[in-house]
Amino acid sequence: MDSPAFWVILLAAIFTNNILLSNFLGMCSFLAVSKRVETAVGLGLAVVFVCTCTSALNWIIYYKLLNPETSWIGLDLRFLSFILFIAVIAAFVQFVEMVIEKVSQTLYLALGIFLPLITVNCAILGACLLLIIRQYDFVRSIAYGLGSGLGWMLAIVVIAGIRERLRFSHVPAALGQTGIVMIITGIMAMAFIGFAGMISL
Amino acid sequence: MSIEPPKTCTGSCASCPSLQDDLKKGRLALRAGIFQENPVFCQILGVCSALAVTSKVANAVVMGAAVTFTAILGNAMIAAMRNIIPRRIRLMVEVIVIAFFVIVFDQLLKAYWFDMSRELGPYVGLIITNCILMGRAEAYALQNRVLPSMMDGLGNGLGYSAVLLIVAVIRELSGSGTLLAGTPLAIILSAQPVSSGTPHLLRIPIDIAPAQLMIMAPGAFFTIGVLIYIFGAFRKQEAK
Amino acid sequence: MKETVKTWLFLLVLSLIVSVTLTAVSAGLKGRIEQNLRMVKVRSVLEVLNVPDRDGKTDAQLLALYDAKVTTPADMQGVYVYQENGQLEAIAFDAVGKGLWDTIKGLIAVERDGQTIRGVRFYEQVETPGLGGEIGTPAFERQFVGKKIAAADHVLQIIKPGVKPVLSDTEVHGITGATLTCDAVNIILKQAIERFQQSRKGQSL
Repeated sequence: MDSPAFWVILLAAIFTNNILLSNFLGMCSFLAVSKRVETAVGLGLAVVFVCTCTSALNWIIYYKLLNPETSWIGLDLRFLSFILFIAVIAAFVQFVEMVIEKVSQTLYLALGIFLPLITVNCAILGACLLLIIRQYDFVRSIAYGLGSGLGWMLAIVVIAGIRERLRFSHVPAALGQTGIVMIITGIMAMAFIGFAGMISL
Repeated sequence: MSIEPPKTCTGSCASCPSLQDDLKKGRLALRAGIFQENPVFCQILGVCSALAVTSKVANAVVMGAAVTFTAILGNAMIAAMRNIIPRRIRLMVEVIVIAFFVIVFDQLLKAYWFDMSRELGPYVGLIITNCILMGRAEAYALQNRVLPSMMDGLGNGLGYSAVLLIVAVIRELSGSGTLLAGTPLAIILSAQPVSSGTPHLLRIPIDIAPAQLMIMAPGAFFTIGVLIYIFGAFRKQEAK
Repeated sequence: MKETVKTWLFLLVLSLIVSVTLTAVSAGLKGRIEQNLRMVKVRSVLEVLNVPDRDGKTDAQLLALYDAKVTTPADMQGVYVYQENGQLEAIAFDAVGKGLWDTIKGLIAVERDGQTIRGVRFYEQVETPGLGGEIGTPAFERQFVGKKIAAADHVLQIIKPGVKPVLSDTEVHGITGATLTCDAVNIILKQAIERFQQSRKGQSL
């Protein structure tokens, strides 16, 4: 069975298999940060960067260290994948945090607590786990990590835009912030299902 | 490494928290976890898996069990270590502890209920990133003793499981016309007899036209959105 | 300085305890897990070949049944030969490929003549529930029994429902509303059958 091409995986991860709208991953930060478009874009870009790089790093760790058939160590250490993956993600996020602090104080302050929370963004760990399940090679894993990050960013930026406009609408109080976001996301998910089959993964 | 005495200590034995105190505190935490501070509806935590695994009730139940298991034991371990965890790495320690219990559960599931492990797929591993567990470890287990922390874990785990159960029942019933499909306790709504080889407990001869959308992504979002609305409306009524 | 040492020491001890425990748990459960993995394929192959006396057996018994009755020829990966007392009964082969959402894994079993279909099983798929997902249901799979895997110029195909009132030997009905999944399955069937026919050339099974 041929593995799909780089571009196919990239586009599919953004549209037809959007990691947030189809796989439900990355909801927590999605719900919390999506109130303003600028913060959403900032966080989105950070997630894209972290997701792409950690997909690559974790691929290397899995296939070179943990998987008995392809690793430099002969032992079956696959049960350690969860812990090692999340450790790599945590370390990487720490690194990104330091860089953002130096480069843009405003963004750093705007993102606040949500930056370290990228570590527990299920989308990133999820992307790493899914690319292992689908047995992508190194280059395709990068495509998938990049695509997942971009797809997540797309979803969060669109919702932020919608929420900014929602401020002028009359939303029933009981729905609160989250209820209405859920319903909007549901409609978005429906829209994205329309992409299914355009890119066959 | 010095072990610090609990903050309530005044030097006399009477000031040390007794089992009674622990249970009392724990019961409060338990009830809060299920009702007032329900992790999904109130704290908006752990939504990812609430959406992903609730297309079938059986999956939701196992997921709820996994989170409760990890919450209880994870909280216990963190509470036990709370006085010796260096402050700077406490998030990393929380993640390690949670990941540890999740892996144990995952391995047990693969060994004893392989089909369910395949159904849940990567979502068991993703419990590590479930905000509920980190949230409770940070907010409760780090400041409280082992027994109340365990009960806090139990409470939040049950609150989470309850939400998952409600959503799953709604989604599976309206989306496939079954309940607990895939287990021997399945209840199937179908006018035609069920094919042999499908384990089930009960067949109710009503035909409903299943709403496919409910078992797909949008159905999950809508269900949770509406439930939040209902839950929120009730709380407002109570507050009046 | 002392703080840093304490921090690292704590981390080291914790990691050690965690890794040792996890390794022990994993080693202990390893056998069971690997067997579970194998059993999925074993069960599916036994089902599609319709090997008798399958019901009510434990995993170990099914495994014994499989080892006794089914063999894979050395140079033909993904082919499962079912023999009863040295006599060839049926052959099954893998049918795996891309579905609409993710990989579809299936098996096609043919009778002794290498042409007539004994059964088809799609044992792993994540197609749209209620639509493409129906390929995993007995109702869909039953259609294939008795059909042929290939005619002179084309192989087994899924035809859209309503297009042809009478189906030939090498056609089955698709699923309404699941065009894309059925297209994907058609490709999978074609590739699997052609590969099987290729590997059979010059082989006496």
